[in-house]
Amino acid sequence: MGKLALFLVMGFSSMFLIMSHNANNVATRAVDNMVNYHTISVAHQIAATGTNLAANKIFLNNNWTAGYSNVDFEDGYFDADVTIINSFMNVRKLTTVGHYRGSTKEIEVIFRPSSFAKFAYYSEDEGSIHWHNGDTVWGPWHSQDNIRVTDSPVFYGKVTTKKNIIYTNGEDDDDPKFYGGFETGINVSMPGGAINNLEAMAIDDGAYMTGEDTVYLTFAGDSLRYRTSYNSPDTSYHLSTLAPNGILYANNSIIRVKGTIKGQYTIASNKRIYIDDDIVYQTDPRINPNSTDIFGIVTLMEVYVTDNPANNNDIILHASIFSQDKGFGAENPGGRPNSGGLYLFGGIQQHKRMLVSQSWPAHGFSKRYKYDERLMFAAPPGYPGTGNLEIVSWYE
Amino acid sequence: MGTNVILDILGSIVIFGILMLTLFRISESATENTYKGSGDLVTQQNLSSIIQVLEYDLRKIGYCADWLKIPAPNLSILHVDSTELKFLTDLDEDGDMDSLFYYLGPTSELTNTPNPRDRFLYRVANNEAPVGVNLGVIQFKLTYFNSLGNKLDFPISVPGEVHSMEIEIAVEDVDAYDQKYSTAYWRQIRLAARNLRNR
Repeated sequence: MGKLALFLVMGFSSMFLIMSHNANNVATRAVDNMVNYHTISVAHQIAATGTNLAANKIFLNNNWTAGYSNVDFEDGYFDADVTIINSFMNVRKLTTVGHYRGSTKEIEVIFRPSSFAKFAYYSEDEGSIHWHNGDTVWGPWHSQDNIRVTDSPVFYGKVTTKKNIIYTNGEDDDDPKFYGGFETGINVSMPGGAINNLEAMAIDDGAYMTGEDTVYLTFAGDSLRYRTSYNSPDTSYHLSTLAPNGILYANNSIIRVKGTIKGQYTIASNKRIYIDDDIVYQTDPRINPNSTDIFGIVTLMEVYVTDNPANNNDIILHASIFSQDKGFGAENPGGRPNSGGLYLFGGIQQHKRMLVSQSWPAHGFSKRYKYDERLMFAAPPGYPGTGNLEIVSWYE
Repeated sequence: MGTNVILDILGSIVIFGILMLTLFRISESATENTYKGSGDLVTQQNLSSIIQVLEYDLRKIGYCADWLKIPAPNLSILHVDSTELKFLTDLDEDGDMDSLFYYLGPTSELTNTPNPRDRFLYRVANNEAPVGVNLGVIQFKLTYFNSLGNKLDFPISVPGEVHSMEIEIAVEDVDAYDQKYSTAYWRQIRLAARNLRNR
């Protein structure tokens, strides 16, 4: 009887030992799982924090390459390193590594200079213009002003504004569609010396025109026809010889331009630029995505679609347009006849939005704007930059 | 004397019976606890594995090692639904765009498991044939928000409107003692793929 009791006690004890060992083992592994996930998550958060701090440094000073070393954060630490991976294009890579209790996580971010050409629409002053039902914008949109929305305008690209969004009917009733994202508090101001930079580049290795009241430029594929008065004959130049760097600058001269673009060119002036007829790419990138034709129009003043017979029955305009102090519009918008559609394929960056029609359909153009997606990563030669770096890739 | 012996024997039988019953009860309880503990652990491990893969993949929505190949990251999300998400990414970081499709299969695909609620969570890269691995997923719910932070109603016709998402996953073990399934639940309140906001 005594032996039996002893066996019973030993048996129960062994059983409880095995059970408790199993239970402890399960509990330990469960905690291991949790701790493992926690450490990985915290290491990632530390890396993300380091990346945000370093990115902020880079935004404040584009030349910041000091990086961080062993910066303590949340019981862990991070290192950040900035390298220039393409000095010609000023492409930079920020690598941040977060460390936490044996776990490490790395985040890589690539920055490149941001060009105004990427904006499908940019304005410093929106005036009292509202974006409303039926308005559709493709490509990035930015304003230094408020964005005013009524009902449900559609923005397919990223929308940013320095100020805020103003709802005409209230936030509950207006429903703007921001399919590419929306951010406020983004400051991208017009660069002060954009025209001067282009002038210097034109003098250096482009075509520099000066001393004329007006220059007439007709692009014709590889060549440019040029004259300085309405009735004078054109002189033809081979463009690659005339402007090796693709920049044509008319100093103190009005430019009147039209034609077919083959290659990459930017025309610029500190005076008005008139578009006298269609400007089209020789190879339309919507038909042939390998097209490298790209055209920029840059001026300190207005860019006008000329009020002339050639433009009174639609106009096709393949270009990115930059007006530093004024804007892009139709000449004589309230006096010209119904001129059909303004088929813009490119983007507009301007100080202030201007009219292309008045009392439509009586006068002017209906807007048919389409963004050239290539402008997200390519720009006409010498096209004004924002002066900032932008993030083009985030790997984590 | 004879009566005392009979009482002793009866008493012994009763005590032995109680001991045996206790033993059986302990054995059953131990078995149940072992199953439950193991089930909890396996469920937790499965959930942990799933979410680590999910987080890894979803953070790379719109990423490409050759960033010139993805000029408009907001176009990276191709299709969204409450249990489906298809997007562009660069899976092997070779600079070529890949598509990745997550979706939840029906319960009818896993009728051979005792758990009536488990389903396959598919992860399909490019045009590969879907291959299901049963990790006991019973819920994979996606909720989407636009850039203003507003919840998007289904159907979402323009996936580019998605700016961030909430992910809910619940996992049970595929088999359990006495059909008492262990459940592990995970929710990411806001997962914002960073590349969607680039440029």
